[in-house]
This record gives sequence, structure tokens and C-alpha cells, in this order.
Amino acid sequence: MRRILIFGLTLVFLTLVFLFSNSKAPATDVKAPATEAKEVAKEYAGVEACEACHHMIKTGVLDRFPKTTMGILFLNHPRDAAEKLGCETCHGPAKEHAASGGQTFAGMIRYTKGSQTPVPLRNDACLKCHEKRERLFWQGSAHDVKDVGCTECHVVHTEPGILSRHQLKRVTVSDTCNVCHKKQVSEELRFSHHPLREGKMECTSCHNPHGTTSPKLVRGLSNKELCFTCHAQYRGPRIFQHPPVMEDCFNCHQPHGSAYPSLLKAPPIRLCRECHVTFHELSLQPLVGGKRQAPRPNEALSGCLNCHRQIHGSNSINGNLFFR
Amino acid sequence: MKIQKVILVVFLAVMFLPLTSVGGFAQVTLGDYTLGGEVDLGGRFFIDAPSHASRGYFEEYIPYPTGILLDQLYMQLKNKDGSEYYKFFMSRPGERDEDFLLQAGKIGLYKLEIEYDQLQHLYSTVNPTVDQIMILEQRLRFSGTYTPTPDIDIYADYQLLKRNGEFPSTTIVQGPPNAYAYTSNLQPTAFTQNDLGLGAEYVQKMYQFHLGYYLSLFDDEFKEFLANPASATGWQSLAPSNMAQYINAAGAVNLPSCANTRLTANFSYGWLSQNDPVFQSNGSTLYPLNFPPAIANTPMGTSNLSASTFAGDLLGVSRPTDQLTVRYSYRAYDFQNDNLNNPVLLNAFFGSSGVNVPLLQMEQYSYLRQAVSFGADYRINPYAAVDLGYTYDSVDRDFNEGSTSTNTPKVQFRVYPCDWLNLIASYAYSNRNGSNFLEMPSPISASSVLTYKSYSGDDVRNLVNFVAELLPLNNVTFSTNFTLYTDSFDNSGYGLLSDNGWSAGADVSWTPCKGIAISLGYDHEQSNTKELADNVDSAVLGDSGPVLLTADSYDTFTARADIVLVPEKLSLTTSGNFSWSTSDFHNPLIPNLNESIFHVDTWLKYNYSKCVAFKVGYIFEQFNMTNSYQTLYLQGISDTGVPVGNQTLNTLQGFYNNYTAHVIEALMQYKF
Repeated sequence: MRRILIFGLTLVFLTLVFLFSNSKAPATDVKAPATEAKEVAKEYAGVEACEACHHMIKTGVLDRFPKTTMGILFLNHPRDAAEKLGCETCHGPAKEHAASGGQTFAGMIRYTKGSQTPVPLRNDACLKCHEKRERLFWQGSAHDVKDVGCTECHVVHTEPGILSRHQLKRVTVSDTCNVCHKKQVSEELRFSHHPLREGKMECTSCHNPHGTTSPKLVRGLSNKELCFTCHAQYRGPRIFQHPPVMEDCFNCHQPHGSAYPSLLKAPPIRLCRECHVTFHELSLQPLVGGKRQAPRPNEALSGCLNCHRQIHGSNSINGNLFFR
Repeated sequence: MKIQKVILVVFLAVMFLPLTSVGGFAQVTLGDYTLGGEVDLGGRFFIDAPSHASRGYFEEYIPYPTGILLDQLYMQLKNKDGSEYYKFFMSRPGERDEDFLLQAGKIGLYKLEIEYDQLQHLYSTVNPTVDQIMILEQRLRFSGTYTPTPDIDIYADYQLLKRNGEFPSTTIVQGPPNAYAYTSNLQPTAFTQNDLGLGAEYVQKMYQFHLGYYLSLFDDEFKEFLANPASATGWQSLAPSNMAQYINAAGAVNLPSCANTRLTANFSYGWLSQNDPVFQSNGSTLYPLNFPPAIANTPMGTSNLSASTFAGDLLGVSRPTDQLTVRYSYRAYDFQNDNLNNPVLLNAFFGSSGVNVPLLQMEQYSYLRQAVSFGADYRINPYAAVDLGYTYDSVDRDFNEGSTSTNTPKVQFRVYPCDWLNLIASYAYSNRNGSNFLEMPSPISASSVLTYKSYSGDDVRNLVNFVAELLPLNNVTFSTNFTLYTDSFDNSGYGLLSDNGWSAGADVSWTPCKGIAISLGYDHEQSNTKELADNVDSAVLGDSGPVLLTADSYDTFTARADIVLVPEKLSLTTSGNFSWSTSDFHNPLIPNLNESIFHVDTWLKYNYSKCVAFKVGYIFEQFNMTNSYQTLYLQGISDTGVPVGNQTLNTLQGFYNNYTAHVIEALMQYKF
């Protein structure tokens, strides 16, 4: 029943999308081609006008921009009317700005520090072309809600360097995320960690900073699907299953780094006891007044897993206690 | 492999060194194409090298060999305007962390990538008979995107992932009611994973639509291994081969005339299956013929298990005014277990009185997770904004395996009183309640199927966050943050009772003049957990064990400086971090677990000409931990608590020695 509910809801919405896409309903920012061309002539200054001043004012920008991905596309190989606008594709109509000799920025979109252009408006300029693939769920995402601008992480006027594959402002993804997410990045310095600080993984290996349907910007349908991308050995299904594994890897693991082995949230003896009554004594020391005095030392960190080795699940017919 | 590396480095040196006297860039023109790039090569040696036994953690993921080093090579072939390009990048060829990347593309039309990289996971170097206990991960990745028109994207991704090696493991050879004793072993690993993703996207200004398919095949060469050679039943099963497939459809529509609304939906359906041989503890791959009568004449040999997942999301964002953003979402994730009538399972759960249905259901249930959330962000004026949110999520499990529901209201304030100060404060209250969980019988016994309480207890959580950013001067940025959380597990008879913690940090960046940038940061985190241990010796639930208190603290200090000593000639970059942690178990038998890592990376770069530079780097790393790991892991304990002797291999990955390493790297960088 619940499958029908989910499927139905989604189908209804997708149908809605399909119908909407075929409708001729007017939208505020959709213009007829002829009108659009007229608007361009009226409001846009053109690349030449930008070049006339900016190669003198801001040394380097117009030298670098033609070498960037967008510069190459807009200036040499535009695919549609929007891309033909060059600088104004992103910065908006600048005829008034040019006419005033740079005194006014009316109607323009600016990205520099102290810009009066609201962040959502700046991001809209990027999303006009990039609202697909990884950016499909940007709007309403954690970063969108907190007014994070695209240009806080990315640069446009610089040719990508050797290591920067996504026109990032900083050399690595971790450096980029570290500006705000210091806690998570410093957790990578703990004893047990993923190979981020060694440069063999990136924050974006697990997170999509541009928005996801899953919580915490996690890639994949859920946490476990994310983990199974690399750790498919735990995916199952198996004959004997450990329920927390079936539901969420983060029931036991702390992915950003842990003082305990295998990225565990706590020493196994403590972690296991959050759910389990043990049939084993906590201490082999004699009872004193009916009370156990202390855990056995070697139970403290790896205890339960010394015997229950196949704790993620077993495919042995005799594996009911995850010994085998 | 080392010989190959030497040949490669010598070849590159011979090829590029004669060009070092060239004053400008030595770009080569090949018809309409230009070849350019960069190569970093040189050598590495240790001033103070850790011993082999101490290099386990130092080289956990990447090796540090000495000698000739090709750090990286980058080559780019592109046409005159740069719209067509072919790029090749490699780093550390011949090493276990080597990486090769080939890219080709035409901007705006297509992009192809092929990458091969390696990663080692070194578990131990302390074993006297096995030099290195490790797993080598190899990854080969292809990806391609084709954009025939700006509104259509077609993509394909393929990844081959292999993991080969050995993993340290243990097996119990003596247990209750006698003393515990273990034997250690090496668990063989030979995983192969093939992942394929295909998809297409159609994009218009007013709507977007995405369709995708994902296939993942996991194969394990070893299905079982003899963990305890001294026992006839010492075989353990290993991860079974399995397969997963997902189809995904997502769409979004913009409705500017409807309060600037954007609606997004996502739907995924997945199949999971596994059909590996079923083993017995005696290592036999044949399924026993003496089936219980109730499930006689069933197929033998393979497990034939399957499960499926449905996930659906509906999300919306509306911006009716410039000041107000409203968001709303519904999410459902349904995990459907299809194995309750599987004959292998029925046999596995067959006991003296037939199939143990409660236990079978306890491990093979289905569940539905749903979440509804609403939020509104209102910008009161240019100086302040408030965000209100509420989330309700629930998990419902079949067969009375319990349900949980969580209510989480939250509020956030953002205040910008002036152009040099940003303040963000948030508070979230979370209340989790459980119901319908199986009750633990009293008195509990070892034969009870209810070996666990299924639920860690109702939880009330308070979470406070505060961030302040100050930009008092154009060249100074200062920020500080504070987080406080409290978790109280009401109605929890045992297990976790409370979990409280806080963290605080500050960092400052200063650019005193052009060419000098300095940043410093420090943060401290503290968490305290309280747990009531329990056991069944007294056959009565209650306080029959000690209260376990654990206090964890973490401190991290980071620093970085970028200094131009001589403009355009000589520069210095240094970064370092020092992190230390303490786990206090509040138990006289268990020493505190202290760990620290100190890493400094310093590079001096001299630009000899536009295309030639020399770099000298000094890397210092020191790792220390108390001998708790050795004490806690290596010693088998007798029934009087006396160590019974060292075990030569280790459980998990906690067998690293302390080390101090001083490394020097000298590189020549040539741009062409």
C-alpha cells in the first residue's frame, strides 16, 4: 500500500511537470525571440563596450576570462542568444552602466565583496544555465537557505589550475569546505579517518554541496546507500542480518573521524551495550556485593567484535550470532 | 616497479632539463594545437625515518618511499581558442598511491574522463612474520557527458573497483564459562566491484527532467576462510557477492507566477539481490541434506535473497516576497525485505520447535521511513533574519519491531548589525519517542530470542549553535563558534542514559601586507556519555553492573602562513596542525586513551625563470598514543584479569606504533 502511495505521489508530480512543460502558459521571464532580440539591443551594451573600459580598469580580468571555460564558450562558441551576451550573460544588462561611464550599476548583477545584489539573484544568474545534474536540488538546500553564493566557492575569471577541476576558489575541496565546516575538517585529524587528509578523498566524495534529497547533503538515497558505493561488501542481503546495518551505517559509525578504530562512534563494548543485554559478565572479577566492579580491560575497545567478527551480517548457515 | 619509476624520472629529466635555460614558456605548437603543462620531479629523503614497525600509521593510506620522486606531471593539448582540449595528469607513478587522469573535451559539447588511481590501507607493520598487512585499492573510472544542445545532457559513468590483500582478524578459541582466549588470523580480501551509471537530462528554463539507471555488481573471490585451523568448525563466511540496481527519475518545475515557487520531485526504485553459496562452519559448501521435515525438498546451495527499496521526495520552495522564503518537503524511504519465505532462511532459523519466527522477523523485517518538514526564512530588515523550521520524521517497522517518531522544531537568527559583524545563532529541540518495541521478558535468559532491547530509548535533545564573524579591518577576519548539545534518554533502563557535549573554536586570518597571509585556528570539543551496563547473571533487569562514564575531549590547532620573501622570486608556504584527544573511561583498569598527531608542511619556492622553479619542502609528522591500544588489544586476559600473552596479530586496526618523521623533498618544477 505504501509503495502505491509513494509511487502515486511521485507519478502525479512528474505528470504535472510533463503537462506544464507542454503548456503554453506565459511565464514572466519568457520572451518571444523577436522581442528578446529587441530587448538585447536596447539594454545590453555588448562585449566590445565592456572591453573598452575594463581592460584598462581591472588589469587581468579581460586577459584571463577568454581562457576560462565560460569565456571560451561565450566569446567564441556561443550556443544560444544568452551565451552571445558575453559578460552580460552573468552580469546582466549593462548599457546604462556603460553609458554612465561606470558610475551606475543599475540593473546589473555584481558578485564582488560588498555587492548590493542579493545572493539569490546572483545565484539565479548561474542557475540559468547550471540548474541541472548536481544542482537540480539547489533551491531550498542547506546552502541556498543560508544565502551561500556560488562565487563563495567558485571563481569564474580564472583559468582552472592543475588540481582545480571545478573552478574552485581554493586549491582543494577540503580547503573550500573548511572555511565554514571547520569542525568536520578537524575531525579528519582523529586517529581513525577516511583518507581525506591524505588527499585521496574529498568532502564531495560523500556530499553534494549543491543540494540533495537526502539529509546532510549526502549523496545517494540514504546514508547506507552512500556507504555501499565503496563498501558494497556490507550491502547484502544476507542470511543473518544485523538490523542497524540494514537501517543506517551511522548507527555505529562516525564518518568524519573517530578516536576509536573503524570510525566507530564509541568503543565497541559501550556501543554494543546501547542496545544489547550481554550474556557475558562485564568483569571476570568476583562479584562484590552483587555488583560487577569493572569491565575487563580487553573488552573496552574491541571486546564484542573479538568473537562476533561478522557483525555486519553472516552468510553462514551457522552464523546466527555473527561468529562465522 | 621502482626501476620503472627511475626510468620514467630520468627520461623526464633528460627531456626537460635542457629547456631550463629558456627564458619564457616553452610551449610547443603542433599544427592548430598547443602543448603545455608542468612537471614536478626531484627526490625525497628522511632526516629521521620511523622504523619499519613504526610506519604503519604514518603510511596508513599513502606510502613515503625515499629516492627519486615524480610528484606530478600535467600536460595539456588544446586548440587555438582552447575550446578543444586533451589533458593528462599523473602523480606519483609507480607508487601505491599513483593516480593517472586523462581528459578530453570540447567545451559545451562533450567531456570524457578516464582515471586510474590506487590507495593502500595499511593495517599493521608490527607483525614479525608478515611484512605489511594491508589492502590495496585500485580504481578505474570512465565518465562521459555529451551535450548535443544546451538543453540536453547525456552521461555515462563506469567504475571498476578492486580491493586485494589481507585484513587482521581474530577468532575466539576459548570462551565462557572459562577464560577468554583468541587466535589471530589474516582474513583474505579480493573484492571486485563494477558500477555503471547511465542517464539523461532535459532542461528548460521552466522545468528540468532527469532519468537515470545505476547498476552495481559486487564480487568476492573468497566466500569463506578458515579462521581457526585448530577447530573443525573454525570456518567463517565472508562477504557474499551481491548486486544492486536502481532507476531514478527526478523533475523540477519553476512557477514564477505562483509565489516564485519551484517544485522538485525525485523517485527511485532499487533491487538488491544475493545468490551466493551457503556455508557451514565446517567449511562445507554443500548444504546439509538433513533438512527438517517442515522445509524438506527445498533447493540447496545458494541463498537467493532479495530486497527492494522505494524512495520518493517532494520538495518545494516559494519566495512570495524578497524577504520571505518558504520551504516544504515530504520524503519517504521504504525498505522491503522479500525473504521471509526463503527456504534457506527457514532452515537457518529452524530450532527445536520449528522455525523461530520471532527471531526471523527480528532480522528480516521491512521498514518505512518518512519525514515531513516545513521552514520559513524571513529577512526582517537589512540587519536581521529569522528562520523557523519544523521536521517530523518516523520509522515504522513490520512485525512489531518498533516505531519511532521524532519532532524537531528549530529556530535560527542571523544578525548583521554592521558591515563588519555577522552573528548566527540557532536552537533545535528534538524529541524522539518509540513505541511497539518488543518487551524484554523478565527474568531474561540466555535462550531468549530477545537478546537486545531493540531501541536505545526515548531521547530528548537540545542543540545550540552560535557563530560570530568579525571583519574589523579589511585585512583581518575573525570568527568564533560554539555548540552545545544534550541528549537525555528517558525510560532507558540500561544502555545509553545521557550524552552531553560542547565545542568551541576560534580562528583568525590576517593579511598584513601584500604577499603575507597568516591564519590561525583552534577548537576544543568535549563529550560526556553515561551508560548503565547490564547483564543477565542475576536474571533480573536492573542495575547489576557499573555505570560506565566516558569523557572524550578533542583539541585541534591549525596554522598557515603564505609569505612572499622576494616578489616573484622567493616564497614560503607553511601549514601545520596539531590535534590531540583524550578518552577517559573512568575505570582504574582501563588507562586513558591519549592520541596526538602533529603535522607540519613547509615549502620554500624559488622561481628561477618563468618556466623553472625549485621547491624545497620539509615535512614533519609525529604521532603518539598511550599504550592503551596495546594493553587493550594485544593481551588475552585470564579469569583473574592476568594477561595470558601477546597475540601476534591484531583485531581491527589499532596496532600502530608511535613515530616521528622528518622528511625533506626537493623538486624542480618546469612549466612548458
